[in-house]
Amino acid sequence: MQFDDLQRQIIMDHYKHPQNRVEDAPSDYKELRGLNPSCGDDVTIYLLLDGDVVKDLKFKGDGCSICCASASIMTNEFVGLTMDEIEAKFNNFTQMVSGHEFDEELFEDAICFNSIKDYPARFKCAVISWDTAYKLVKGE
Amino acid sequence: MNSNQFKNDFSMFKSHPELIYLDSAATSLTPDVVVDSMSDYYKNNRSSVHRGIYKLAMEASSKYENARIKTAEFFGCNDSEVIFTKSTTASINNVARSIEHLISAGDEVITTELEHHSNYLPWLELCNRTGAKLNVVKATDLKINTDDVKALVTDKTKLIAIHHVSNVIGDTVDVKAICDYANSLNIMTMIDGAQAAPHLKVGLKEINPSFYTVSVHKMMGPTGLGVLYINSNIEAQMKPFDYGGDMVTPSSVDIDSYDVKEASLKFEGGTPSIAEVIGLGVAIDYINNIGIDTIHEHEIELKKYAVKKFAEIKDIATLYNANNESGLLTFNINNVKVHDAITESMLSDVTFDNAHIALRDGQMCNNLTMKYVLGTQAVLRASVYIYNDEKDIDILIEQIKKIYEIWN
Repeated sequence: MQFDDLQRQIIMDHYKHPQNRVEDAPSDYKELRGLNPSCGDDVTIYLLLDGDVVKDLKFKGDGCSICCASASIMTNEFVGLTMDEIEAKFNNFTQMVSGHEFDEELFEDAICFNSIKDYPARFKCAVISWDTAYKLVKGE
Repeated sequence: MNSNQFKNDFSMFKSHPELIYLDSAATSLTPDVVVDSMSDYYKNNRSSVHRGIYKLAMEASSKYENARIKTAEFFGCNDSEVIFTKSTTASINNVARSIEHLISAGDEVITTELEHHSNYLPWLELCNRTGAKLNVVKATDLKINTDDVKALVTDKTKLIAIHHVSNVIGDTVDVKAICDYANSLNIMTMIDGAQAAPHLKVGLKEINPSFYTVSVHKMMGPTGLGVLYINSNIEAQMKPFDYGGDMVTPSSVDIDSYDVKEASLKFEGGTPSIAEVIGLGVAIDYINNIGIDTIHEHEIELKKYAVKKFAEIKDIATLYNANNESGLLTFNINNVKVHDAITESMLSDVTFDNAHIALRDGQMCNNLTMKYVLGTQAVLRASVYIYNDEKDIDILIEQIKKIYEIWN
C-alpha cells in the first residue's frame, strides 16, 4: 500500500469508526462547542483535567469526513499532555495543515492531515476540533 | 425552451464552458449587457447624481432616475416608493431601526421559522430593544399557511415579517392574503422578496405591503445593491436611515434644524451606487425582453423534470421539497456529508466542484429551517434560472450517483 493510501485509510477509519465520540455529555467534564458556519460542521469537545494534565477528551457532533476524523484523532493526540505540550502540538498542527514547517515527531495519526494543505477549502474542517479543544484547555 | 441561447449572453459560460451553474439562489450570473452598461458609466459618463448641473452629471442623474422608474414599473409601484439600499439585509435592518419608535413594550411582531436570518434577526433585535414579543409561525409540510399566520395575530400585533419565497425550501407564501388581512387591522408588513423578485411577477400595488425587499444580485443585476419598496402610506411615519448628504434640502440646514427630503430620497443619504443602479435598469430590460412569466414557467418546468429525475434515485438521495413550486432543489445524498459532496479532499476527488457543478451546501443563513423544519445539520441546494436546462439537471443527477457510490 502506498503511503498516501495508508494515510487515506487511517483518516477513513477514524471517520467511519470515530474514537472517543459520545452521544451525550459526560458528567464532570468541561465543554466547548465549535461551529464551522460555512458548512455546518458542529463539534462539542468535553475535557477532563487532572491538575495540569489532560486526563480525557471526548467529542460529540456532526460534520464532514475531515472534521469527524480530525476530532477523533485529536482526542487521542491530546490525552496525557500538559497544557504547554498541548499548546506546542496545536501550533504545530496548524502549521502543518497550512503548509508551513512543523515538527512531525510530535504526531501520531495526525500526520495524515499533512496533505490537507493541498485542499484549502478543507482547512477549517481539519482544524475546528483542535481549535475548540485548545481553547477549552486554555480556559477561553 | 433552448437555454443555450441565453448562455451566449453571459461571458461566464465562455470563460468556463463546462460550468453547470446551479447556485442562482445565492447569486445569479450577470449578462454582459449589464456589465457593459456599468462599464460605460465608468468609462464615459463618470459623475455624481442629484448634485452637479453640468451635462455629464445631468446625464448620470437621468440614467439613475430612469432606472428607478423602470424598477417601479417592473414591480408595479410608484417610483417615489423605490429606495436603493446596499442589500436585502440592509433594507430590513434599516426598516427595523426606522420604525422602532412605532413599537412599544408589550407589542408583538410575527415572523416564521422559514425566514432567512436577514428577516429574523432584525426583528428579534427590535423586540429585544423595545420589549416587544416575537411570535414565530411554524411550518406545516414545509409550508407557511396563511391561517397559521392569522392565528397568531392579536390586538398587540404591529408587524408581520414573512418571505414571499423562502430561501431553503422554496415555500411560496400567499403574500396578498397576508397583506390584505394585515392592512384591514392596520398591521405593518415586511415581505422578503429576495427569492421571489427574480423569478415571478411581483405586483406591489396588488399585494400592497408596507415594505418589500429585493436582492438585485439575484436577478442578474450587480452585487452591492438592494431595492426596498416603502409604501407611500407609511413613509411619513418613518425616520431616515442615514443622516447627511442628499437626504436633506441643502438650503434648509441650519445650526439646529433641517428639512428632510420626501419619499425615496429621504432614505438615500450619501452618494448612491450609481453604476449598480444603472446596471439594475439594464437587468430589468433583459428580464423584460424574455418575460418574467416565461422565466417562471421555465423554472417550474425544470423543477418538475428534476423532481422526476430525483424520483429515479430516491434510494440514494433525499429531495426535501418536491412539492414546493419554485426553482429550488433542496436535498441530501444518503450517507454523504454535504462538504464531502461539494469539495475534494485526500479522501475523494469525486465532487460537484470537480464536475464543474456550482451549488450551495450548508445551512444557507437559515438555521431555524434546518433545526425545526428539516431536522438536519445541513443540505445541498441546487437552484435554477433562465440559463439552465434539462441537460444541467441530467449532469447533476449523474454526479449525485457517482458521489453516492464513492461514499457507500
